[in-house]
Amino acid sequence: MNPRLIATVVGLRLRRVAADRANLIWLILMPLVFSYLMGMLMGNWSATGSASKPTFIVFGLEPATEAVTALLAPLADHPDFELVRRDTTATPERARSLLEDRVVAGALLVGPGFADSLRAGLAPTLDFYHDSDRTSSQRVRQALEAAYAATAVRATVQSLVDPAAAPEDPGKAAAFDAATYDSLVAHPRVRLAVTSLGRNRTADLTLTLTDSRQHSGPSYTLMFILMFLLMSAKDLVLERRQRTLDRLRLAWPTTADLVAGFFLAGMVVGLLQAALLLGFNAVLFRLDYGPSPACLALVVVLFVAVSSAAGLLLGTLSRTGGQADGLGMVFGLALPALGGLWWPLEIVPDVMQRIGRSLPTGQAITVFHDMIGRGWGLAETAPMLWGLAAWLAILLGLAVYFFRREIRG
Amino acid sequence: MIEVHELVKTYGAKVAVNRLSFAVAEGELFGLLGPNGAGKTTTISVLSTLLPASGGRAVVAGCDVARDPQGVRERIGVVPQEIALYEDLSARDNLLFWGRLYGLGGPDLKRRVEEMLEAVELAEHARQRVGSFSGGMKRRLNLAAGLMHGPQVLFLDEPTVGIDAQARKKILDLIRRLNADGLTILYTTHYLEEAEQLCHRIGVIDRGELAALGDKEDLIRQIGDEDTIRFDLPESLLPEFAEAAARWPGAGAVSHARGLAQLRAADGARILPEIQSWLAARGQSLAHLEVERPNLETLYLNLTGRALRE
Ligand SMILES: Nc1ncnc2c1ncn2[C@@H]1O[C@H](COP(=O)(O)OP(=O)(O)OP(=O)(O)O)[C@@H](O)[C@H]1O
Ligand SMILES: [Mg+2]
Repeated sequence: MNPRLIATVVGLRLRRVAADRANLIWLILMPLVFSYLMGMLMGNWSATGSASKPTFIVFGLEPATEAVTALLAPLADHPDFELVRRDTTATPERARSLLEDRVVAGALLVGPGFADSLRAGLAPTLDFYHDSDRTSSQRVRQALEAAYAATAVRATVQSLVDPAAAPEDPGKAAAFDAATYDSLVAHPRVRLAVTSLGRNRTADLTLTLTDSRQHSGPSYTLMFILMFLLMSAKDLVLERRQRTLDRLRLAWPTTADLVAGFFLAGMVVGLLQAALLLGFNAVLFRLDYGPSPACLALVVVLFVAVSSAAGLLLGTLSRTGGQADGLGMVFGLALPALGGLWWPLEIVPDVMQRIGRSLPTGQAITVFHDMIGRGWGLAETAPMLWGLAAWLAILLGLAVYFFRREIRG
Repeated sequence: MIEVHELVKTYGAKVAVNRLSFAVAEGELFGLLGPNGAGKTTTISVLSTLLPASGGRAVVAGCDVARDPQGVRERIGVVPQEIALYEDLSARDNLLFWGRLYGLGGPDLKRRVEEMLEAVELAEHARQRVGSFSGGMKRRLNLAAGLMHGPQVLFLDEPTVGIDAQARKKILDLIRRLNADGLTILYTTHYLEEAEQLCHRIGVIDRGELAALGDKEDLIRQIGDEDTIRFDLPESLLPEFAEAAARWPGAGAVSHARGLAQLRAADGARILPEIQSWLAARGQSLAHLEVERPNLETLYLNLTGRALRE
């Protein structure tokens, strides 16, 4: 391998990229526009950082009932949500739609005649709706369950000492009776029925980001790096068709020099693009990439290398410029979509998440999410980084193999 | 300088070059003449080590193409049929790049680039993008790129395709100059006149096989010395005419093509009166008369069996 010849090949590629001003649009302008617009579209994801707190709504004709008042008392002035009471009844459908439209983080339905039923010892039900996919909603549920536990015990004990609260057996109420207490605890006077919307995912898959730009910044950077390098596969096809590749082969560079030159040229373009875009995002949108510069550098280098190798492989396998362009477009759109660059993987079904995280796009964006959202570094993100390294080995290996085979004629 | 012995190149089942043998001496300008698809480019690709041969052997500038491809590459320059240049770069940048790839650098490289730009008369356009060049200018720069490292043998693959007469003349003059300076050149073309004007010797190649080889006189001798006479004659009269012609001194084969009778004769002018009186005796007159001296065109057509386009 001759570094001077490799550098000459790399330099040529860079000059040619720079010679075409239209490239600036794809390298820099479009990704920034996408990061910004998609960030705006997806809005704010935080549960706590936003100006208005999520709402916990309570419907019921008799919210002043003693049991209900006792239940809701500790939930007022909660740091995580706003408790709102409505003196109306609501149907389960209404509760669902409020949740699905993200108007509220939780809805509690107090049925008509709740107080009377309670007094008659009929164990009326409180219906609670929440969305397990949303952290804010989970916080409402936890607070309500704590309050409910206290209220249920209170009502139970109360029925022991207050004969009016246990009309079915007024005689026994005066003294504490262990058997009665056990039976009462086993059959509480108030029951809470929890209805859960959403898909109940495991805890580590929850979206940890608070601002959609934390996603759109890195994701569109990654997407446009991949797209540009896949689309430049066409250049290799043209080099072959116009016989400049033959000229390159006849000159001093060996096949290894040529492969290295093409691969490194892609890396230089991709790394410049990454540095500019991630830099702009940091400055313009105050994006913080987490505490580990090493992890940031490694994930960027690995992803750019994977993209460059993929472009080289595509260019080697394509017979015509149209083929390279077409396939470049297909993979340039499909890999980002499946890998969770368009929208976060956290919101897609489990199967698609698993597929996404097996792709280089999904692996890279997961590392970014973990760095930004959890403050993770090299050790914690290692599985994803190894995944990227494996992709690099496979793609570069195939690219070199087919390039050599192609050149032997 | 170039020795080709029983060279074979196949693409799968297709035989592109079939047992080709010829030799080119040092300082010679050798023409490989053949129609489209004859195997010219394939031959050059094998001789320049871009493609491995399927059989036979070839030695270029003392190096065996199969055993010492690196040695061959160092000594040859190749000018591909395509414009193998970067159209988005200037002429000078193209030459600088190709020079660097041959290990040139510093003042040597700069000097060589200016020298080549002068040689192909593009010095005034050095800073211009190649994409904005005319066909002739591109062809000249394409040639210069193959000469950057000062090769001993030059392979030129149809360097005048698709350009006008003036641009072509410029290129042919340049090739003559290079050859006069001692460069051995293998020149392929499908233009007979070019091969005839330019080359010391010509190899006619068709369907991958060498159909004829030699200088202009050698080739003409191969078709014999006979003139060809053609004139209007109904086909029904042909047998009678052939019978008569057989008795005339110096007359040769008789045939019929496209409504014309064709007669080969050692001396066309002497036999014309005979034809005229024979026709007059049958109430016919001599029409659409053609008398053709032996030439390479006929040879080429006979050998390749195909009319030349253009
Ligand atoms: N890569 C290839 N695969 C299969 N067949 C090929 C390949 N390259 C050339 N051929 C065939 O080999 C034969 C010789 O082709 P070649 O390009 O050497 O001809 P040529 O004399 O240079 O023609 P032209 O004047 O059109 O350049 C043709 O029939 C062509 O179709
Ligand atoms: Mg050809």
